[in-house]
Amino acid sequence: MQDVSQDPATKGAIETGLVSAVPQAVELEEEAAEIEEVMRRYFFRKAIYGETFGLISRVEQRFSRGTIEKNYQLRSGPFLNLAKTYWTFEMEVHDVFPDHYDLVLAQVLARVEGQLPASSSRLRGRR
Amino acid sequence: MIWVRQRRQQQRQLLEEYAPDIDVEAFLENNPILGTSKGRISRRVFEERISIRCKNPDCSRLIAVPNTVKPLRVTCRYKGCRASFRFPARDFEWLDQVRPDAHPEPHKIDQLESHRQSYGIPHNLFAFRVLGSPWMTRRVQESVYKDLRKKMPQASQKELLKAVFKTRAFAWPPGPAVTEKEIDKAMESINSLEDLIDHFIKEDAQEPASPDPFGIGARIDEILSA
Repeated sequence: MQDVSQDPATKGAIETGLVSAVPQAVELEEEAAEIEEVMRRYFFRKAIYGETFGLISRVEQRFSRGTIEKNYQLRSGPFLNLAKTYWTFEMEVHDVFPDHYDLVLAQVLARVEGQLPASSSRLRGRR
Repeated sequence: MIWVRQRRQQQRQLLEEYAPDIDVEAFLENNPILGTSKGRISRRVFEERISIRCKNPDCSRLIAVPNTVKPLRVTCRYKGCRASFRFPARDFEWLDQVRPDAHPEPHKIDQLESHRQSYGIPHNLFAFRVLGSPWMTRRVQESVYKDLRKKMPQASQKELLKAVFKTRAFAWPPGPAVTEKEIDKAMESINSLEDLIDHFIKEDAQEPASPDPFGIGARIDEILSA
């Protein structure tokens, strides 16, 4: 995949994973779209079974308020369960950036992450 | 800024498709991102401001209100108007999928709901058709234009129109791929918001239309444009 941006500011945003290097209007290759669908289904399957993509303690190190429960001020419930799956997935995806931002797989994972119901860029910078 | 009722519908659709085993209603009813739980994140969501339109047809100004799933009693702050109304005018699932600043007038909402009920059309399908109507295209682009004019006060008219074009061309979900070059070419003959809206409506009309043997879609367009 080619780097689509020559603008340093946009390139910086792409490399951090905040902006996709794949313009949304560009249709992914059929195979990539299939991988995206499989990843999305895999994510929800893990969420349904209350599983995470990595250690939850790693996520909690990034929350200024400690645990995910404290961050969201919830004790239990489906939102909290899905949030745990989501945040561990988010961390794994962002591990791929900035070194591999130009891989199709990295972009697919970022697209899946951006569309999840616990995802909110508004809250991302306010852990 | 996305209205939390729109976000709620997006979350509901995603969960119903990919995770029907999750208690979807419980997920939505105790959700900080939707502002439906207690706590600082929900408070922050409420402090966000979304734009709605004054329901007085002689005013129709944009008014900033809290971002909440709860219905609000709003009073227009403009002198000479001061209209008081409920927002949203009605609690229909299909209406929750429409940008708040593009909601039709209450009497049109009632006619549309009566039309939807008489054919038993599911909310999501109905919302999809309402959002695709030329009236809605016009309403949304006018709102986007006003919004961008506030955010880009130094921009020329042409730059503003191009920015509006891009918000549609690169919006999610992706439509047909559009390049910068294609946008520049289209912009050569666009000099006003009216030109731009006409361009979008013509573009939509070129797409293959869904069969409408009972005139259901045509009736939606008729109600909206009356």
